[in-house]
Amino acid sequence: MIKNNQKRILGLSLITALLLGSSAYAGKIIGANAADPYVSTTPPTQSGFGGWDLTDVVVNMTDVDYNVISKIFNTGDGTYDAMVVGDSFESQIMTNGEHRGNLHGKDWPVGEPAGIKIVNGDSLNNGKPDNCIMTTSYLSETDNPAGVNGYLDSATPAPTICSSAFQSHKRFKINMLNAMVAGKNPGEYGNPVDVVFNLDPTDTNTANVRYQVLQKINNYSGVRLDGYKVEVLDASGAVNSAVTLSLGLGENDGSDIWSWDSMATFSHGLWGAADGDHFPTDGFFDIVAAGLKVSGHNTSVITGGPDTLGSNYTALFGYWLPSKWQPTGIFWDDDNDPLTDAALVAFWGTAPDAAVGTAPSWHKGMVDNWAIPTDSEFLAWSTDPLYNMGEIEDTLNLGLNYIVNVGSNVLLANKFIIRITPHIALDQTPPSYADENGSIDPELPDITDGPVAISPTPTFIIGDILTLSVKDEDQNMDPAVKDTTTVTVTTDTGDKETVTLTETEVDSAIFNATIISEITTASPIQGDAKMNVIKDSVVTVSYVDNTHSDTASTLATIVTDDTDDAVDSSGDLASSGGGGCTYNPNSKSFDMMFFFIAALGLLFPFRRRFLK
Amino acid sequence: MAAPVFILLYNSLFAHQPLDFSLISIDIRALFFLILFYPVVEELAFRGVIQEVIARKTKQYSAFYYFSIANIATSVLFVAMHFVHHTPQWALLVFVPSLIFGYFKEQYKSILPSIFLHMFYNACSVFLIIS
Repeated sequence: MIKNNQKRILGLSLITALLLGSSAYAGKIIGANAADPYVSTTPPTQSGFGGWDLTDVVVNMTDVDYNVISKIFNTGDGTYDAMVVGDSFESQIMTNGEHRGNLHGKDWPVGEPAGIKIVNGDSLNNGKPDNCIMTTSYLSETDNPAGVNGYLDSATPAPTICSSAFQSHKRFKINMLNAMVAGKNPGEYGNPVDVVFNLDPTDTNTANVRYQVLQKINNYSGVRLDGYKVEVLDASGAVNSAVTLSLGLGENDGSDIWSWDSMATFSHGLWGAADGDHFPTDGFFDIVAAGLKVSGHNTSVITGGPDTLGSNYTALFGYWLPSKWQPTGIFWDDDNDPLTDAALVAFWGTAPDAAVGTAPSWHKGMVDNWAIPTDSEFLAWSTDPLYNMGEIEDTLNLGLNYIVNVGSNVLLANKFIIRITPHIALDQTPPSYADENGSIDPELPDITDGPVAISPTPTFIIGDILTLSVKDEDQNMDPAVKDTTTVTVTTDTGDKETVTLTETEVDSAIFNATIISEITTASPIQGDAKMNVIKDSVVTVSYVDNTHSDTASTLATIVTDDTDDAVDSSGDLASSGGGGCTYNPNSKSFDMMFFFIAALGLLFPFRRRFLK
Repeated sequence: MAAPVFILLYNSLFAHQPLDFSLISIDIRALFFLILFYPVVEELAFRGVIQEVIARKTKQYSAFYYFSIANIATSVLFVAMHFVHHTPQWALLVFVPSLIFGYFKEQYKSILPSIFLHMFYNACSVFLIIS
């Protein structure tokens, strides 16, 4: 009897130990350790691979326009064919057998397929999790703590991690496709897209694991949306208390991690106030953040909308725009780097206070009180290659901030699902610049005769190439050849150059040319075919002929990070004279003037004898 | 000590933006020539030789307020030399500093004060332009 009881007690103890042991397992997602160095392989392997379950994902290697190319991503081990500039990828997410979402990251060499990676063991402040679900991007020289190019075409690729610099391309984008609203009516939730994650079955850490999800959801559904919900479920699709969602409320030493108006927002560069830190200028459209109010905390579901954050988004464009109605803008590639985001300078549409039925036109932003651009600006934008017309995609992209709390991997069978479902808006009226089928492409207006332009404007970075332009039918002497005309460019520091402009086409009557700007601490040299400027110099181009006269100006600035670029390519502080020296500040060497003065100076010890 | 103190004071009172010391560090060689080397060479030539020669020839003429004929003549030459490589406005701007350099040279009967003043003037020019 005693022996039997001993066996029972032993058996119960074993079962109890097993149960206790199993419940001690927690929810670490398979991925990269933030502290581990990048390991280069041949063929290349996706950093942080394995956490995103690709069972229902088709990873296509594409060009930058997402046309499929004949390269392969191996969803089994994360290896992929070597990529080159011009390659990209698109991961098609299937749910219930339907292609419902496309996941995009940055083009190679900034990003790599498949588009989502998991980073564990990072170290963040302000209550944010030390782990994250983020996109598969790499660090620029500016963002890389090592101070060197960390893109995939460099010798030392450096993957982004949770704590990487602000705006270093950490969010993955899920384009919500038409299948997510198919068969649904306005006012209803659409069809969900599931993103599945694999937990590490060997993880024996007893604590729940928190992951910040760095994500955007983009409206490519074809209809206006006014909300969304995010759910977390176990592998069977059921609510499971072992995995929950959090909005970070009270998780920053009792304070909230994110403010109420920053949990689901459109681009801060378009809608948001300057903060003197991350955003030096106010948003293009508004100083009030645009986005949706979010609710739900420590539950399996959080919802966004239909209440908005109070910006002028709806006054400008209506409810959350679908891609077919994204507005057109004019962008300035301020750093002449296609890998970085360009700045919006104008958009095609109506001002937020415009009466219903107002025809669309070109407008500058809120800071310029929605002014219509001048002919000079249109001229600059049409002739300077750094200005381009394009769609303002950020009006579709809602950035989300939330946390997934992952508990026992045993209770979750080593998988969990993040399910995203859009909510369809009741109002499906097209915006002013579009019809039911899509946006109507605008064109730049015909420029009236006579304006002169200088760009970049209103400011340029010293070292930039300045583009000078004139529209003048008088100077189009021969419609069969490219005619020329001249302008005068001056600075308030005394530089003056006469520049010959050449007609852009044989009969365009638009003339342009470029001139380099260069920093100088000496007095400017006139006629040296470059604009010698200092910080805050005003550069003015003037055009005068028999029938027209016009001027345009721009202001010199310096970007600290580009200081090396702002200085001439020789590496010297250009024309390092200043202070009124008698040597030639532009020759960067001693000339006859210097030797004459120096020889005179050498007579100093003998002057008394000489004078006698 | 005077130059940096002056610059910081000037900036705190009048300048709208802080000094960009990163620019200054770019070209130490250029700053050496500009702030140390050229003032010595120019003062040896102008105040050390030219002004003394002219002073010897014009000592019979009275001074114009605080400035001797030799000082004024040397400063005119100093400005003229600057026309070679600089804009007229810039060249003319060096006239007053040159007069002051010459005044100190005569008062102290040494070119050391004018050399130090010239260094200070060049340093101010560079720092104020950069800032």
